[in-house]
Amino acid sequence: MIEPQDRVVLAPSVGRAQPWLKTFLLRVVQRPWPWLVRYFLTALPAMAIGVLLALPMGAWFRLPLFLEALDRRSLDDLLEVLLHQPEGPSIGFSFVGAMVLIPLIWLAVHLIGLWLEGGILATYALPTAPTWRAFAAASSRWFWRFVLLAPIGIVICAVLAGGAAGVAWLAGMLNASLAIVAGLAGAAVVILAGAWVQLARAAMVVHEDGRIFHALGEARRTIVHRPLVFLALVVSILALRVLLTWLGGALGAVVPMRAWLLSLVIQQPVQMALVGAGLARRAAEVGLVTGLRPAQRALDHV
Amino acid sequence: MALTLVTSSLILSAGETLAQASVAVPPDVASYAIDARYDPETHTIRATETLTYTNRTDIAIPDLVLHLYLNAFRSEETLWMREAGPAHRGYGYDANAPGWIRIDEISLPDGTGLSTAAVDTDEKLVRAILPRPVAPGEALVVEMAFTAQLPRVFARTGWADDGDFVMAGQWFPKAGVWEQGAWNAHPFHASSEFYADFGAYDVALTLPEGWVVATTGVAVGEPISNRDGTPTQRFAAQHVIDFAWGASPHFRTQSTMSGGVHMEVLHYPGARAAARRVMQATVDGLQLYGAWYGPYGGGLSPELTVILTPEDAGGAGGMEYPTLFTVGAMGSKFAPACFRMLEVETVHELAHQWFQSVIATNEAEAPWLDEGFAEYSTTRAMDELFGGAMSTCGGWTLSYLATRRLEYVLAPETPMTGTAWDLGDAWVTATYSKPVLALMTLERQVGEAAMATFLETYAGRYAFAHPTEADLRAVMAETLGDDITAWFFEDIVESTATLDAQVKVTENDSISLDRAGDLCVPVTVRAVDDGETVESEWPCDASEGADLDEMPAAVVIDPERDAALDLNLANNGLRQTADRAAWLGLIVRAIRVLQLVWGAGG
Repeated sequence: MIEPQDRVVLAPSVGRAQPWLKTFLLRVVQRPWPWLVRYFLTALPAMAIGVLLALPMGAWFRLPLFLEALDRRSLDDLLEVLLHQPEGPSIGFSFVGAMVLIPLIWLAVHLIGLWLEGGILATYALPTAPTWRAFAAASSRWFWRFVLLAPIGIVICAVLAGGAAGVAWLAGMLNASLAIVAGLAGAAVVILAGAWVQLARAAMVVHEDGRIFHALGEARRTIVHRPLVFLALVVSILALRVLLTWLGGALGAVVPMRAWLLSLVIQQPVQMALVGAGLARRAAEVGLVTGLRPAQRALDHV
Repeated sequence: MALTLVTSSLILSAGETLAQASVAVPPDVASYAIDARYDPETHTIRATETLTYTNRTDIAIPDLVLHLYLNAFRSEETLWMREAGPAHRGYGYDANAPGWIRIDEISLPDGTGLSTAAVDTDEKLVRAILPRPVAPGEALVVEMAFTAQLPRVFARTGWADDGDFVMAGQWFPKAGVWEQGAWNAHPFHASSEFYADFGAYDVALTLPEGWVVATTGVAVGEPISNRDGTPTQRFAAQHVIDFAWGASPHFRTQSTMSGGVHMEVLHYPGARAAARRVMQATVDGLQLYGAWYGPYGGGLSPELTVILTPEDAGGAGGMEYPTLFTVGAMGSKFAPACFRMLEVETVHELAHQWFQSVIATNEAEAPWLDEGFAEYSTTRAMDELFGGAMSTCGGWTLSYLATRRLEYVLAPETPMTGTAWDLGDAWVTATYSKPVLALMTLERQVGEAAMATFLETYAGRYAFAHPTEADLRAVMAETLGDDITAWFFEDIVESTATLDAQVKVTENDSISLDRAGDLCVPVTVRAVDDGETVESEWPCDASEGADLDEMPAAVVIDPERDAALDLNLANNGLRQTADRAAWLGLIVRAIRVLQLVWGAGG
């Protein structure tokens, strides 16, 4: 049972329409803890697995061919080294271990991420940053609601994706270009549906209402009320994420393998920016939902 | 016009000289006049055939041996099927849609009937008994009526797309090659291809109205409309070893002119982009091969056609015929642009226009002579066109040669010589992988200029002929010298010897350079120490196990990869210490990849 003081409480001021977006986006920077937590949620296990994989590879780094493979990004040379592994500790054990751990960590990261979701949304919804205790309480409070919402979202997206694929297939029987257009339109619909389900999470937290279908309805009303803002939010965050991912890859390809510190200095800020983009989306969703209908009901709980 | 012709721009009168030959063309031996009608409902061809076989040898021919290749596909019990699995390049055989061929009548022009007898149990070869031998210089004329049932597309030939696509390869009774007083004609084996004499083909094809057809040779005259509405079109080809054709009502055409050759790519409507890639690779390849081996078709062929097989006819893709080849095998046409399997397939099949269609070696008895040279040409063409990269997907490069190296390294102990069927499981390695690596190794030993002279001489001397390994060896000795020729043939072509040059750390922490295996390729050794690079030769007559008392910072055997046959390139070099900066660099990159996999940001 969550004590009243641990509940998410929204100030009346957040309901004001202007300048709501800036207010909420600023909270991502002003309240950096969710950012750090989300970043280290993946960075720490990635470091562990990276070291686990690389530790037994000492002998490989004595082979000029392996170093050439990395420098020239040559699968020819990599294939050659993989085929004739050098003497020394086998990488088999650590590789198999990593292959087992990677999906398990993926699952853990997503479950912990889902648990953090309530706290993160509450952090951006509250007029002042919550305490750690309040953060944890909000996380726990909404976790199971979000767990229930997740398969509903998956089913909605899967049905839409299946329908879109069918339409694209039918279109393909008439014209190949039409199939591509239909496929792209279908993909856009699926992305928007996913964004709608995510918006429902913000609606639950902001309005202190755990009813899933009610939250989906609330999210739908928000989208209908501010379709352009919603569309701009989805497109801009998606574009930002694509740009950052591309930037990380492009910079990584330019920097030589041996310049590991430079790689780290370039790549990790890009990764942090990617995390920030995800959190900016959440903050904007909170603002969008709050801006439409101030969470008076939440205040009743105080 | 009822029948759409892809060769409409080159309609010639029969027998007209097509182009000036760049080489002396020997007189034809096996010429065919065929009148064929294809029924797309039953997938059968009913035809009459007049074979004119001229005895150009000094020994009389007592009988006639004909190949009936389609009988390899008449059931799962044939020799071919038992050897194959029955599967070919990953495509299965449909026992409910078999292929077969039957000679309905066979006689001399005066009406004298000939009796035939099967040479093998599957009737893939038949022998016709002649009333008298064919004397040297005399021509035998035989008239036949035959029925060919095409299988559902399998092993290069057949129908697909519910009958709307047909690729007819090895579809008619075809004479063996009379040489050295005997018929060189083997039963059709799963790993074997073909061998035939040069001749003139005059083929009249009757197909349903509206079908687009591509054939060996060129169209002659205008199509004739039949009473049932079907059109009949004549096609002619001079100095070729085979005649194939493909057709579909759904074919679209892309065409261009390059180097005096009219090129066309036939494809299904959804494969326009893939067809453009095929066309570009064909144009580029034609220029390269023309410069290396002489003009396309010996300068006799004004037309080259490529068929990009449709989705369910991949089994008909990746095959060469004179002035015509097919691509689209093994899903190559679905690969993204960064994965150039379609380009590899195109330049490989194009290379066969020289190494088989003109330099007509025996694919059954010495398969490496055409496939090996086609693979070598493919590798060189990929080098010229794409810097060697078959794939650049994900920013990493993979060369075509590396995939062939992988095949060789896994089973290297095979000679390149031997009949296709005797090579057994080693057929791919012996025919494709080892030859391309051997020829690349040879090129790096003698230099590109000398290699070019050797190839040009070989291609020029044996155009429109049937060279053997002995002929090839003679040209090599003449152009590259006796020593290198003896080494190439005795240590590589005819040998199972292998090579593994390696850097070894000895017990007292010094290092030694060793060669494992009985094959030796002279190479250089590069040592790097204190920022200084020293290169020295490591000839084959040097004592084995050259020791270096002090380990340099790094030592690499054969840094330029001249010995493409070296089984293990990874052990060719060693550093004194691990490159820690690169080690950390790899960890940093792995971290980023894992962060992306786990969805940083959510």
